[in-house]
Amino acid sequence: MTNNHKAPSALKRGSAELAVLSVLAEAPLHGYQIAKRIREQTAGVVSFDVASLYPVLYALESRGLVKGEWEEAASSRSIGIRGRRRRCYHLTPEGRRRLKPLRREWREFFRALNHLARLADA
Amino acid sequence: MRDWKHLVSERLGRTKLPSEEREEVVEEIALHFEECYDELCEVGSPDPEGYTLAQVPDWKALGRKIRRAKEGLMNKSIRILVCGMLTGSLAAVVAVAANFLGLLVFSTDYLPDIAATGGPISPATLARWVGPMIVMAGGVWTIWLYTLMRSSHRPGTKTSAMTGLAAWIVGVLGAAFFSSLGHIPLSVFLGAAVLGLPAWIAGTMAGAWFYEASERKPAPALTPA
Repeated sequence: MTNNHKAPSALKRGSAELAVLSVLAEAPLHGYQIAKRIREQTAGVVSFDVASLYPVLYALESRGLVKGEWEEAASSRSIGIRGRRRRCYHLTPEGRRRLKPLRREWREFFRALNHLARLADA
Repeated sequence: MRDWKHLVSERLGRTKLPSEEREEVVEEIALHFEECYDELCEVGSPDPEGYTLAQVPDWKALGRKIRRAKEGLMNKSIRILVCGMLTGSLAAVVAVAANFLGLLVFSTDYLPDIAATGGPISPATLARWVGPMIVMAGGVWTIWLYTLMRSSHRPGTKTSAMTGLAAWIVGVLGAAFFSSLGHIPLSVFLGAAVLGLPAWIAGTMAGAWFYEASERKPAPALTPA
């Protein structure tokens, strides 16, 4: 097996990174919305809770891949927040650049796994 | 209604973060809890508070993870600077070692050769200051280039070797220009060019490895529902 076909080490730690960057590529969101969007888009198979989401978000922010900015929340009955500020995250240009190879790595990983375990036939 | 901010602040304890940053973390997590709680109430959950708080089974661990994520080892600019200087230093060491081992003899009396070209800088100054500064600046530039290349290619050995090669090509082209003007003797230029190739590739690979190692990694965080 050549290096080209090896799953990169980033893959092992990149699942959370991929999930967060992917939803932020669609639109800027705050923490709770990020978790909710991921849960909805994966039909509940993948979920983030507070303990798993924020360390990932802060790490991505430290690496310059996402940027969080405080903004005044509009009144919303559905979420029970009136006039409070919340931190909204958006993808930085570097985050956008990082997402492309990350998607490729995951596609290759799943292709290899599928080849190995015949996932498509299961 | 529960005071989520107070609860989070109390349970998170004293994280080693600047107070303003800690306040922001507390506010953000409290808001997350509040939204989660409200949504659970809306769907008629029997224990909205319990389900909300179950998101954090270990507050101490969360505090540690957040601190690690926010603090890290170094920020990006410092990492580029430090790893770049490391790259330059290692490249110089490899070049000197290769020369010493006789892989290719880079004439030890090259400084008089340069002095003979009548340049404005004395050989002693060149050796003591300008040379190391150029090597260090080259190393920093090389690692900066690596950070750009890792965005479009995969971070790792192959990309760092390609970056080292690119840095070497740029360096050789620059040196060739000065050599063509007569500021650098041809023998010195050729020796440096040949020794520089393995030296820069090895130096860049090491510098890039340290750059990756010093990066903050997010913890695996996906949990099946």
